[in-house]
Amino acid sequence: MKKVFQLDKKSNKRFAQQKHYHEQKRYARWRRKFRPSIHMINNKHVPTISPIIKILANNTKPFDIKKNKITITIPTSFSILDNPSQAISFVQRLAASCLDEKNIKEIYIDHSKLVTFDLSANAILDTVITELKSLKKRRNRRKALICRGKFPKNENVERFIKAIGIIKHLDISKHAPKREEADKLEVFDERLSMLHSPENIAAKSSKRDRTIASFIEHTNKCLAKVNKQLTLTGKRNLSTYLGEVLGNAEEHAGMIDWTLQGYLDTHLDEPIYEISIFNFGKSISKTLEELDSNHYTKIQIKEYIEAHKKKKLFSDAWNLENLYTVVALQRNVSSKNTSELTTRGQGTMELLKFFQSIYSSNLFENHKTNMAIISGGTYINFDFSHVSKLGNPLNTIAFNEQNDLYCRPDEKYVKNLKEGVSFPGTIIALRFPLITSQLVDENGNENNGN
Amino acid sequence: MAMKTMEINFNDFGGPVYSGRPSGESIRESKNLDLIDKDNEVIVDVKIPDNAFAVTSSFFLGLFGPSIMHFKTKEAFLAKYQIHARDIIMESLNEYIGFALANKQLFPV
Repeated sequence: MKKVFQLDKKSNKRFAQQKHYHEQKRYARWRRKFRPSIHMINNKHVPTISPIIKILANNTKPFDIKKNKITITIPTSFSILDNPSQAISFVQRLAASCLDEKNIKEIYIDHSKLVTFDLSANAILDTVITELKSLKKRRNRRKALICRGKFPKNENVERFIKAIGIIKHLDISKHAPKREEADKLEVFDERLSMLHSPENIAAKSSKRDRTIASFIEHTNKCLAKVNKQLTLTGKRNLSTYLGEVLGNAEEHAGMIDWTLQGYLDTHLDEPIYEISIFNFGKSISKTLEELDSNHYTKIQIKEYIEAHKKKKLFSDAWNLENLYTVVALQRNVSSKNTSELTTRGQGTMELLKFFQSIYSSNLFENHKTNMAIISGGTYINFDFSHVSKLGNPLNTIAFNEQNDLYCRPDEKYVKNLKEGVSFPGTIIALRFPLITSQLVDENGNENNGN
Repeated sequence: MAMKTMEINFNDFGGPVYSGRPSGESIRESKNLDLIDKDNEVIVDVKIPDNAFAVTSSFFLGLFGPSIMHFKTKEAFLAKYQIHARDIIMESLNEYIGFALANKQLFPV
């Protein structure tokens, strides 16, 4: 008779526990293999990679990670307005490095060479770092991300980094601007990110509208530094423009993550007011590209596409993506229109109207005013002298002398970013001298009726 | 025939900025405006508070766009929806009504 090996009760229990342990390990291996993007913490699903970092990374070559530390040196010019390809490429490389999140314990940011900067480039860089930091915190890692760095040598740039840069975003209070410094600064910084929370239309619209109202107050505080205020028309126009831009960011991008920032430093002899609005998700051209060929909007713009193909206007410097982006800015064009009876596609023109009115005020040096839209691989520079000639009401903007959509846009207005450089979303960057239109003087009289 | 009046007060929707197409559409649905448009015995009183900064075209057309297209002319729409707002807001709303009724062709026929 075959001897049957029998375990006692204690051994049985230990055996069962070991079996359970090995099964759990096998299950965990299976989960890592087939569901790599999800991790359970406290029974809640938490992405193991930040969606922002993932879409920014885009197969870009990362910075090196040495001994669990990334060291990045911000270039001398780090500006979306002045050098968009370089700035976006830099942020993409950082995002690519952050994909290896488990191996990163420290980030060292050397700002010492930074001279030319803008709000948008800095804000997007900070978003990557704060996403990484948040992700590590959500994972309940014992050690949080360590952030160190070197301040810029330029005093004005250092003040910027402290007031609205990485110092603020990492909440490093010991390096925050001192009170007397902060009194001459106006800073606005709001972000809506619904990537980690369920969509709630009411909460989302409430946050958006409250943010816009607060931004109007912020703008008035900036103008008050030079004894000016927005007129009723100015409040209306700025609110309308922001409402359309943020609404577009929520409806068209496929994910909800937008940021609105404002910055004014009156320490400077000539204070420049900056506004940055950006969102992550589908680019403008992608929302049109993805439409079915028999979609109303695709049919609406087909003739324009065909005209450019027939004339052989496409090249390295002007491609279909750029064309979709320009077309999407026209009045009555929206990926959400389904027939002539739908009434979408008015938003971009609100933006242009607002800046037409600023330009026509003649209250500042126009050559110092910049506005740009970057979406995907397309960079559109708004030259106000061009915009001002477009007439009222504004229905078409073709970015060429003839203002003709059948003709290729002028390269000084519409450019392709460098190959491989693409922003997953849309950035609107504005920079203009403080003294602007839509003002009242100290007696409350409106200027120019704008 | 006695006309019934229905009120839409923007104070009920937050403010002082009214934006977002989904918000406008959601309010339209909650107020059953598709049915109201077809009811000739109802006039709608639309009140926009004086402290409103702006009403965006997306919000306005989300809320009233189908009504504008139903009535086909600005006058008919405004006869049905009697809007009370400051001049500066009305200026924008008149523009939006114009956009909704305009020819949508991108290229001239």
